[in-house]
Amino acid sequence: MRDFISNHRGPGRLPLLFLFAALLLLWSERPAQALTAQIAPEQIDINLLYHGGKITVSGAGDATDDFIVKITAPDGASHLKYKGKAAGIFWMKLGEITFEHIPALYKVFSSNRLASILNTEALDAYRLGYASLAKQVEISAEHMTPDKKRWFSELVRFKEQDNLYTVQEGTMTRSHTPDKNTFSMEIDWPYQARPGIYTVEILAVRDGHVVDKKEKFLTVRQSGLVKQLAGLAFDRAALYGVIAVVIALVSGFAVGAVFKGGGSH
Amino acid sequence: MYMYLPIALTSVNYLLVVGLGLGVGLLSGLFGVGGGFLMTPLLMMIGIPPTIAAASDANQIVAASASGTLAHWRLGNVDYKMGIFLLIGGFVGGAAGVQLIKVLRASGGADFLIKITYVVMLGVVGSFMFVESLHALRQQKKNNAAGKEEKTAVPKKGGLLSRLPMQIYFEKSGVTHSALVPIVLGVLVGVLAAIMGVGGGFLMVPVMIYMLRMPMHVVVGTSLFQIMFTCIEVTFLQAYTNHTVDFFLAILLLVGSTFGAQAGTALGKKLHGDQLKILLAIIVLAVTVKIVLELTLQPDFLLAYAGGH
Repeated sequence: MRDFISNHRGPGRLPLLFLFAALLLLWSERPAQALTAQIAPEQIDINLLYHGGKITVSGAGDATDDFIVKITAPDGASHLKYKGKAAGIFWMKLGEITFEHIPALYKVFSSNRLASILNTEALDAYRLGYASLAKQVEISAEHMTPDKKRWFSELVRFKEQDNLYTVQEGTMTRSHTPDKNTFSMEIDWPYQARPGIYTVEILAVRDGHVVDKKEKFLTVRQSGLVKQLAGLAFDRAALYGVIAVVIALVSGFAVGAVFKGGGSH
Repeated sequence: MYMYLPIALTSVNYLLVVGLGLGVGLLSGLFGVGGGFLMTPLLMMIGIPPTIAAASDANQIVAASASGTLAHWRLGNVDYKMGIFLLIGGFVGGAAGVQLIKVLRASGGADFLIKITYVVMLGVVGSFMFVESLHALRQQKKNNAAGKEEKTAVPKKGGLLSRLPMQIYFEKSGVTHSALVPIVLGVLVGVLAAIMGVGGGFLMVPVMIYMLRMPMHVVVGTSLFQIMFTCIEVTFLQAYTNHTVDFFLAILLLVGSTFGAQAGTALGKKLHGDQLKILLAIIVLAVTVKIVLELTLQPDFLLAYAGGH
């Protein structure tokens, strides 16, 4: 009987060992914290006293994840004038220059340097950073063959001046706990950004790969008096023109009438 | 402090814009110029797209010139008869100028020509007025010292112009001209103004002083009267065809400019005609220098929004 017991003791340990090993494995391969993200507010109203706004992008990911937030307007063409030296003497606008397949607004924020967390292929696939954006742009101009590199960097400077383009690497701060890390950042929304629907992409990056992605939409729209006046200007242009002239005339004559003391001789 | 402009699609500090209106309105009441050659670049500096800056400025000039015209009318400084003839010419010239610019643009290199014309016109007009009014001021000092009466400009008689048909006496200005003279001069100014994309006040004022030989104070009132109609036309056409009039921007500007125009008229009463001329000449020359600097120094940005100069 003792033998029986002793004989069965060995194989009896095996299930326990298996169980222990399985638990160990499970513990080491616990499901990664899935990416969660939200933006607030999801809508910005442009009213009479509007001077830009603030949006908060926040969320959480796994403990070691890096995060990237990218905000873009839909791709389109930007028609601008370029300046150069006319007759070799005077700086002036020389013609039109068109940038195609670029967004009117492009903002990227990340918790680490982009090149240190993703390789070039991944950066290009997700259009992260100016170098990736430059690869898709097509530039054409009147009276010249534009040097793509030079004019793209001019475009970036021009757009950055209006706060429409921003790339801030390593500026997002994360709060770590043992099994997840959270982020929350406030972004100044530029008043120069036109009404429209903007896409906010939040990426979680781990071990050189984008492991999760969330997409949110920010609606920027005109409201109240601003909306009514813009509507009138475009839909009923003649009436709008007449109103503009009449109000200007009435105001001018009214102020003139108030100041009658300054007049007669 | 900030207000959003629905057509310009940008936000501006409204106190700053009212202040700009006040300053340029003052010049308007003082010199009889619309001030577009000053206002449009200033608005562009605060981020207003060029086409919207120019069109909305025309809208506010309607108010400033109405305010100024009323003030000058009370002083008896508006020569309506002369104003209407100049206006007829100006309308024809403006329309011709717009067509001419289309032809020039199509042939290429027009912008260079326009810019040069602008600088040369400003420079010549400014320098001529400066030298002439300086000379007149010195002469006046001498005369005063010698106790002589101030010599008034007497229109030349017997020239080719006096033999033209339709001779009319303009009571307010005290001059006799053929109706064709102001009409033709109006056409010339209209063409140049359309090519340069400005209202033309700074050209019309010297034309009235030196070619039509009108007294300075009547020049200011009559010029404002004329500018009011030109800008009504421009405002309506820009609003109707190009949707470039930002009414909120115009309101902010006219709040300042209508008061400025009154202040300018009151200040103008205290100044002698030659003093007014020399001040206007200095402003025109300062603008010329600014444009020359812009042309010769490398700009901060090599890209710009379309439209404007």
